[in-house]
Formats: sequence, structure tokens, C-alpha cells
Amino acid sequence: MISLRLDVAARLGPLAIEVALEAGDRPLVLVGPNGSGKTSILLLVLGALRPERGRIELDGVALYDSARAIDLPPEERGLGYVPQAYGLFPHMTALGNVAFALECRGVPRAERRAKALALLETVEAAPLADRAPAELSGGEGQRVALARALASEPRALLLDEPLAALDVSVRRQLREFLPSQLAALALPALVVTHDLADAAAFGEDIAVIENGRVTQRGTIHELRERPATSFVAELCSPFSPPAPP
Amino acid sequence: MTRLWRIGATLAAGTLLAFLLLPIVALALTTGLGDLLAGLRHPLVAPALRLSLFTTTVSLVLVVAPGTALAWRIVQSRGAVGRAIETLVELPVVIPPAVGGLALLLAFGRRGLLGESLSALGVSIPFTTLAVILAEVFVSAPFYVLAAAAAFRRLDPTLLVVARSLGASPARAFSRVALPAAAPGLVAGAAMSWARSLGEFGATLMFAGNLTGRTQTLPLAVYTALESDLRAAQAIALVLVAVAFVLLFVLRRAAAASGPLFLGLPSALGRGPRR
Repeated sequence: MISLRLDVAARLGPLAIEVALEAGDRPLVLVGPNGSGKTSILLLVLGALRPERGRIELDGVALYDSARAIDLPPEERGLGYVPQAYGLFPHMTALGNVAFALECRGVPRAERRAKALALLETVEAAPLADRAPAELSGGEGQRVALARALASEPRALLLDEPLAALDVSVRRQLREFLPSQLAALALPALVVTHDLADAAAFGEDIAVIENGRVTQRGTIHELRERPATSFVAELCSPFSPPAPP
Repeated sequence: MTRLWRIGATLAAGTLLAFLLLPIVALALTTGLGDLLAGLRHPLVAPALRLSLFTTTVSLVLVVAPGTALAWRIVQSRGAVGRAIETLVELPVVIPPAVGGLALLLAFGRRGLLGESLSALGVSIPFTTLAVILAEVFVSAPFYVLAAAAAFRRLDPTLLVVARSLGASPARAFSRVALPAAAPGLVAGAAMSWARSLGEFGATLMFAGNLTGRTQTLPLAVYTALESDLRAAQAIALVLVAVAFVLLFVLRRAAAASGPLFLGLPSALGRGPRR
């Protein structure tokens, strides 16, 4: 089983982040209010932001280790990233976006198109291949961005608010689709959300981030039964958890 | 009161607009087709046209390649250094061209800062075609660099994070993502910069002089022709106006493709929000 572990401290403007987290073959869901540092944690793992000290480890290999002066550049970390607004390259088609990831991996030009199409197929987005990102709906963009992230054959996935900014029906649909995709991949994943219902869809393992720190870790039931902070209590109050399968 | 205010504002706006258009209209109306053709055959015109095309093309290349690199550095360095560099780059925009020409003379002239080193190498720059090119680079580079920096700043920074996470080196992320995604803004900046080069007069006159075939560009030819043959001056002027219209069209197209643009000095100097 691949695991992603991080134990880092970072100062980002007024926000001091200090978190220790790990994710295995189940997604770890990061829930927290706006500005609590959820996205920054993803950027620290990606190598887009640099921690002050600590250690980030993927599958036993250090991506960052202040004690050993290790700081791999983002392109060597093997992480798949789907940012909040999907971050699709506006000057490439959906297919081109996926093919770019293949190009970065050194896949020969002649094979890229077929492989990119196959990847779009796995996220049920093959008919969108020739569309420009501006012509994609939120849900479609999400699928293409996921296909692109998978094209780099990542060893872990980082998804930032994957279900925010979607209309209700698409959201409901992706709430089933994305977790099942993640489950099939069996990769460690960090999923950022501010919505407990979305968090529940991704699984049992939830870390609540407030002001740069983990204030509670547990299943949705544990959060609901014994909220550790007023934020958790408030988050859980209007929510009734889905019946256990 | 409101009505009076509206009439006053409309009148003021209309007056300015008319004032801006009148000289162009006058230029077009007072130049007949015969005058235009006769003017274009004036011996000053062909060499000036050739020289302008040559020098502005060279100066555009000299501006765009390092200017793109400089703009990228300005955007990447978030701190005081980036802002300081950007302010320095803006300087040639606000310096009067004649002052720029004098400054170039004091830098590259025979008695200038680099004059002795240059003459030791057997190089003399003032009053040569090279001086024309240097003057054009000096006055036009800021337009490109500022526009390019604005275009790069408009890019969503997560695009670059994604590109790197997919395995792209910084160089590949720049060339395959940042550059093409910012392309409309870069093209518009290049067009602005080229237009500034083409119209360059003051710094060229001071630093390169007004020698037919060597340093006499189209604007200098207009000035010279005015003394002998008004038709030639009008013909060259009309050519420059036609070029300006084509450029405007290019800029509008680029603006449509890249969102808000810096058409004109004030917005070129204004900094967009820093991410």
C-alpha cells in the first residue's frame, strides 16, 4: 500500500500551518473554513510552497525533509493535482490537456492521442476531446482535469474542492463518480472540501483543519457525536449522515 | 440641473473627439490621389521607408526576446526588487524622447560613458543606423515589457503549478503553458512597441541625426520633406496613418482574445492586481 505522510510547519503571511497527516489507500478528506490553510497544505505537498521545517514522504520516499535538506521540485514528486477551478490550459483542447501530461512523461508523440483518448474514456469524457476548456461545464472540466492528472501516472492524488461550484444534479452525480474512481485507483488522496456532505461522500477519514492546525480527526459519526470545536459542531449540526452501507 | 450637466458633458466629450479626429480628416482630405502618388515618388520616401522597416524590425526582435525574459522575471519576483525593476523599465516611457536621445549620446557618444571603450574597439555608434535601432529599442522596450508583464500577471498561477505537477520542468511550463496562454497579450505588446519604434523621432534626431538612407526614418523624412515638398510629407504621413489603423485593428483583436488591455499609456503604466 502506498502512503502519503506529512509533518510540516510553514508560515504563509498571517497563517501558521502546523500539521501531521497521513493517507493510505483511502482518501483523507480535509474539511475546514475558508482561509484555514486547506489549499495551502496541498500546495506544500506539491512543492509549490515551501515549508519552514518538517517532512513529506510518499511511499517511503522523502519529497521534502528539512533535516536532510531534501526538497524535490514539483515535477519529480509524482503527484496528481486537480485544483479548485480545474486549472485546464486554456490554449489546449481537452485532449491536448491530457496529451500534455503524456508529453511531460516522455510518451512518444505518435502514441499520445490514442492514450489521451483512452484516459478521457475512463472518466467518461471521450466525447469532449476536441472541446476547448472554455466550452466545458464544471462537471466536464472536472473529469478532464482528473484524466489529465491520471495521465501523469501519479502515486497520490490531491483534489481541491472537487465538488464545489457544480450545480446540484452534476454534484450529486460526481459525488458518486469521483469517490468510486478514487477507490478503484487505490492511491492515497487528499481531498479538500468545506462541505461535510461532500466529505462524507469521499469516505470515513476526515481531518478538520482550523487556522492551520488539525483540530479533529475521525469519521463523520465521531465528528458528529463528539465535536471537538465549535466549528465542527456548527459544521455537523444541519447535517444528517447517510445511512451506513 | 441634471439635464444641463448632461448637455455640458456631451458637448465637452464631443469637442475633444472632434479635435482628435479633425487633423486626421484634414490629412486625408487635403491629399488627393495624384498628390499621394507624386509624393510617394519623392526621392526621400523610398530610402526612409526601407530604413524604417529595417530598423523597426531589428529593434522589435531586440526588444521581444529579452523583454519577454525580463517581464517573466518581474512577475516571478514578487517583492520590492520586482517592483523596483518595473519602475525602472517604466522610466523611458515618461522621459521626453529628446532627453532620451541626449542620454544615449552621453552613454554611447564619443565622449560618453562607454565612448572610449567603444572607440578602442573601433566602434562609433552615433549617427549610424545602429544608433537609430538603439534609440528605437530605448523608447519602445518599456511598452513591450510592461504589456508582457501584465499578460503574465493575468495568468492563473495554478496553471503553472499543474504543469509542474504533471512533470514539466520550469522551462517547459514556461514555453508550453505560460507563453502560449499569454500570447494574445504578448502580441498586443509587441504591436504597441513596434508602433512606438515606427513613430520614434526625438531620440533618433538627437542620437542618430537625419541622414538620408542611413538614419532618416519615416518620421524624420516627414519633417525634412515639409521644408521642400508638402506632398511628400503628406504621402509619408498617410502611409504612417494607414499603418496605425492596421495596428489598431490588431490590438482590438488581441484585446478581444486576452481580456482587458493596456491600450495607451496610463493603463500600460498601471499595474494589475498582484497575485
